[in-house]
Amino acid sequence: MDRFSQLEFGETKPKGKRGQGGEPVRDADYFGREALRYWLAGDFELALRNYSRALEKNSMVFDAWVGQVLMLIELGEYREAMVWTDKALELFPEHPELLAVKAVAFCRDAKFEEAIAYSDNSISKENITWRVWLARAEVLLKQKRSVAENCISKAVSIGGNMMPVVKLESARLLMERRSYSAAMGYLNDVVQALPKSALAWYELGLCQSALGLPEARATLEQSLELRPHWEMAKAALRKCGRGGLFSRLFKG
Amino acid sequence: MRCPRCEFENMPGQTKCFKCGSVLEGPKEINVHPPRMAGWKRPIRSVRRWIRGTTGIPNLKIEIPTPGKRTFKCFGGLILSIVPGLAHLLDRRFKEIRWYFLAWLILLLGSLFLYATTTGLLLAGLAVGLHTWIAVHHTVIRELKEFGPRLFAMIFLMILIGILYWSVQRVFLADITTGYTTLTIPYYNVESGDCLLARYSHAQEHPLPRGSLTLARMRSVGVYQGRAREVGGFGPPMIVQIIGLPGEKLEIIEGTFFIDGQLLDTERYPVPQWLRTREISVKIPEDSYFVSTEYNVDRRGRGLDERTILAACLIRSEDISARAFMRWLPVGKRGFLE
Repeated sequence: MDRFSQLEFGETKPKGKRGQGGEPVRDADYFGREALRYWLAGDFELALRNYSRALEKNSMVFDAWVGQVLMLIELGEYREAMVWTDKALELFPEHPELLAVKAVAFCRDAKFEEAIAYSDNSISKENITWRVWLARAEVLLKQKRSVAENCISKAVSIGGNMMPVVKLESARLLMERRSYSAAMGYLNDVVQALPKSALAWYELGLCQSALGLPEARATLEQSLELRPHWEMAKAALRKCGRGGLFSRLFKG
Repeated sequence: MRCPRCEFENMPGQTKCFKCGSVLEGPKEINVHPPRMAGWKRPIRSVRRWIRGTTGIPNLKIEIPTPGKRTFKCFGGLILSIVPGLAHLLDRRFKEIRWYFLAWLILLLGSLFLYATTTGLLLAGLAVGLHTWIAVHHTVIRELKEFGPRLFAMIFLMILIGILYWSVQRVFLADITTGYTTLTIPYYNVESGDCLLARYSHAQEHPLPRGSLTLARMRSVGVYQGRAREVGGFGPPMIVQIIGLPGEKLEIIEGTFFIDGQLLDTERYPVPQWLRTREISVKIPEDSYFVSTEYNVDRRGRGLDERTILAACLIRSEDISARAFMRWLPVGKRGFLE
């Protein structure tokens, strides 16, 4: 079953198992889907809580462990992410994805030697996934190595049914490197696949704003419509209207 | 028992997968709630991350030492080090720091000798630095081996000792202040630009004796459209000389002061330049003094009217804050006024 077929956004009725009375069964799968939904809405805190609840239901759900670590990274809590990866590695020893997300945590915490070591370790395992390639790309991007783009392409090529998420993550990485044109190509695909993801619209808006495109405002407003009162989107919208230092200087 | 990760069929009773090592059954009590970062740590970590990212120092660790035996030992040594060298003296290790102690003593005395000057302030700062060095030399340097904690301890201690010096100065020299004068009075061997030491407590008596050099707030006098005017606000405190006491009649005739018709000694009560161009006669109100000070007025005071002069020279007793007792700077003229 396609993973995104079970995603619910607002008015759409949640799919998945249903109990008596038509209410969805609140099992690990349900909370996993909720967490993904919140992540795609850019609400990392709620996504983290839902991953925890998924693990409360079933502590052996690997995606929930990885999701927790990723949300901690998104929230800027890198040390906690490392601690939690170690905890997950006790249950899933030498898992390449866990090693990869630990490399990302190290990389974001500006500990590049450790990041490279963990990334090397993760890439040397068998059956590596798109997440491992993206982690590799992130570590290499920090070192300003052009081979990072090959890693992103590799990740996208093996994305499978997670393609929209892979593209979204790839675009975010490319934006870090200021490759806005390439990022926008991916983000246009993402918003078509996930039209109700506030995070995708927000990233696309940022990308368009960086390129000076006039539709940036409408895109950011779209993300605000999907997730009202989102401070980051509001700030981006304000910045979008204001323009840069030079544009303000020479504005008539 | 099938492994959830690699699908390998394991023997019953196995806790971990024989093939991939994954845990086959989740422990009964497994904590699934990740640790969270305290909000106050966020800016600290950001700064450290920025330092790591920009300097390339891989593992910069500036950790606050956790309380323990070592910390308490350090702490005890630091408390004793409020008196520089005391901790070393008690440990019979004074010889280790005797030169530092001597240098600290010289700097401290030097800063006191040049009190109220920028050189004195610099020497006091150096004394704080040496005091800190003596303090950390006792236990901190020995106990803390890493650069980060050592640096943190030194900076922290230097701030504490700096506050201590400031507090000591505020407590022990609370009654003393300094002020500069624009007057030249041959009797007191005082010239314009000299710095005098004054005591707040000596200004409490009323009325103050004639001729006293006091620290007072003076009204500003400005020149507007060629005529001097009292501006109205108070300038910074300065040393002035009390000439007329409350209730007396003061006159300035031909460049000399007269009090109730009696001529005052010009050596002891010189008339400032800006008051010599005019003849003034005034009855000093109660609770006020007529004081003498030099003003930089263009054209030697021409254009000054009597009202402006009186507004500048008649001051209320509450505007006098301290009474000078010592010539302080220049050092060559240092001595008591009487």
